[in-house]
Amino acid sequence: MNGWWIQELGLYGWVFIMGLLVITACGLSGSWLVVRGNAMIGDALSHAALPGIAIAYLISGSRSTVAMLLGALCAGLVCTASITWLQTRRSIKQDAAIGVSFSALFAFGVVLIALFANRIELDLHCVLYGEIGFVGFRDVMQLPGGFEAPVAVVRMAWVTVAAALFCVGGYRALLAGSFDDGLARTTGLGAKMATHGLMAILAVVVVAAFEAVGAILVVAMLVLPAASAMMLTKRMPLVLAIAPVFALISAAGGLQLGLWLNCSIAAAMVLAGAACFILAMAIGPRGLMMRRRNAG
Amino acid sequence: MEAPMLLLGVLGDFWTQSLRFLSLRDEAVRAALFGGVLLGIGCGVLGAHVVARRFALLGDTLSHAVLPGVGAGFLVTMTKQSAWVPIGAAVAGVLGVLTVRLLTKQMRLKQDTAMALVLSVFFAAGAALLTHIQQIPGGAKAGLDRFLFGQAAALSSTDIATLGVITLLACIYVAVFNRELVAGGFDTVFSRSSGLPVRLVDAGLFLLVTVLVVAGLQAAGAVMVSALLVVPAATGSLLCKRLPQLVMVSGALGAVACGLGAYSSMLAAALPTGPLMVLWSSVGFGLVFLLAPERGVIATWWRQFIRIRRMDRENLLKGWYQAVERGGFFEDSVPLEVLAQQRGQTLEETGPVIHSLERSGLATRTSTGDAILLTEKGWRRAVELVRNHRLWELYLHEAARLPADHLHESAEEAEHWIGDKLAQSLEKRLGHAQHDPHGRIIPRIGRGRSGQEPGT
Repeated sequence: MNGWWIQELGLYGWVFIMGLLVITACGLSGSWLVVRGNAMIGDALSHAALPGIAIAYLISGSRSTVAMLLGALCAGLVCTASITWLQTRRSIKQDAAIGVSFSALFAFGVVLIALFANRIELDLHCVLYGEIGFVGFRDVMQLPGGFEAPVAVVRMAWVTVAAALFCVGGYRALLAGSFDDGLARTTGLGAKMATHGLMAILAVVVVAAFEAVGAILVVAMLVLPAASAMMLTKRMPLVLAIAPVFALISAAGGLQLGLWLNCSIAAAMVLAGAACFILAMAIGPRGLMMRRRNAG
Repeated sequence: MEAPMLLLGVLGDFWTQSLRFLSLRDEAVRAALFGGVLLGIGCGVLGAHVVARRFALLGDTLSHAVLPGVGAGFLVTMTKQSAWVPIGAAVAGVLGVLTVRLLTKQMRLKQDTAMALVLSVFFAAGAALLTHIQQIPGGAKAGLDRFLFGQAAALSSTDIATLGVITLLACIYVAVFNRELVAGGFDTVFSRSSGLPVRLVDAGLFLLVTVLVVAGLQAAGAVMVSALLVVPAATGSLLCKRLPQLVMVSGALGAVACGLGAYSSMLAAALPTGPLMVLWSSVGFGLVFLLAPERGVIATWWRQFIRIRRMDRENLLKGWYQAVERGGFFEDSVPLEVLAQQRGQTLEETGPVIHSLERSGLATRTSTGDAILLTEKGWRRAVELVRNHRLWELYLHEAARLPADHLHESAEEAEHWIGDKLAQSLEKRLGHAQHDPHGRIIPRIGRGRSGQEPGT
């Protein structure tokens, strides 16, 4: 009786579900980044998380994911605070502030890991590339209803739910902070808090996704859904709604592609997503064809 | 007895290692130092232009986008050291930059979205390729670790020579095409119509950056090269504004940071060189951020502090004048209590400002010590302030048609920065009016203390 569910679903079923969850979580939170013109902060947060993870490991002495998430969250907050503070000098623009902040943090993280190599068991390879195909699916837990599911998947599910609640529930406040600085200021506390909340959620989503897809592919998953959606529509609610659909397609397509090419499944999922993007770009109502037609 | 001995031991060790470093005996040291410093100069010089164009994250994008090229190059000969690897990387890099440009110009994507897309999707293609390769029998691990973190000590003399050539090229290019590059940074109609080959020169810049990133991958690793493109240049921008100086300062900072990185990497054998170079340049950034003479944090705080103290002094001068004016200019001095009361403060609170006035030679105490007189300098400044304040109120009232109760706050600010020239223009414009909107007399400079009679 135990484990029959997993055997039914097969290993690849769980890989698919994990991919679905990761891309949905990233797509929803990333949409707000893309709309704000801040997509590279996703890259910054994912690099900046490294020292947070290393320190969390040193302090907690274990590979507990909760510790890592907390560490990454702190590092993410330090990073965003630094980005804001650096921009108070007129000579430092946002891109330079982002570059300096995450570069310093990442270098610090690498040096930390090298210094305490005997105590930190982090496989940098894994952190950077992840491998959704090998996520610890062996650890299972019981769910209500007699089902069993891998712990990693359940954890990701929680993160996805939290991200969805925040990105959809905080819609008004996030929207206010995204477009109109003046509006954000008059709306007061709401928009600013929403932005801080977004950064926090992003830090958590990014690190939760590390395990599955690694630090760099996460960036693709943050940006591709929204970028594709924007080839189809201009309206934000629709963009958010398209994210899970996109996740479904890329996760399924990516799994197939990865198995066929016999390569990293995470990378394949990104490539599948990129294919969707190119398709949307080519034939979408706001894409290439329409622009050419309107321009000519 | 033990601790000092231990310390001496450590210091002695430190000294021996440093000498060894400076003697350049070890090949590894030479490789790391020369390669690093050359990379630092190149990244600083090119980075200055990249950062000036707000394209700071281009290095990040490039260093990840080259991965498919690395994989493809590896596939050609199936050896890590083949020349096809950097060639493939360069091609991938160029494609990446072109894609970013395509996405932003044609598809109207925002620049950051385009960069994030290229960065991650290209990287995914590379990761797919490389993980696929690893399945092929004979496809050894394509040195991904080295790709990411570099191994400066293992640079061969060819690598260093390549770096040297690229850096030299970069410096010459930037010097020769300075004008076009500056114009290109603005992308205006002017730059396009000015006849300078701006587009071409721009393309050359990005090509050089790509080539440098590929060459630097080996020395410092992907993420570190992109950092070296940004951090020294950002540091430089806090010190100078004009591009030629920025280029030189950034190059120098890059060189120093990389040199220190090589040095500290030798002292602490377990630590990788690349990240240490970035850390040193970040330390440099932090120091300059705090201490830079004009734009630094401390300098800004100091200026603010001085400004607030000056304003406090001037407000007190004004209060003195108003007190004396109320008494019909009969008295020569004003009691400290009156001044304190006017500001709504206690005597203790006003004390420091009064001391400040005395120290600046604007006021002196009377013999009884409980009132102050103004010096000639103080008197003059007080008159200026009151004149400025009332002129500004009149101006706002006449020209901006603001009601009388909206004038005071603006004038409270304006009085401190209105200079003689502006005051004279205002007086002229207002027809040398005598009274402000509240009916008070607008004083004139140069009449002396006795000349404050209305109508004279």
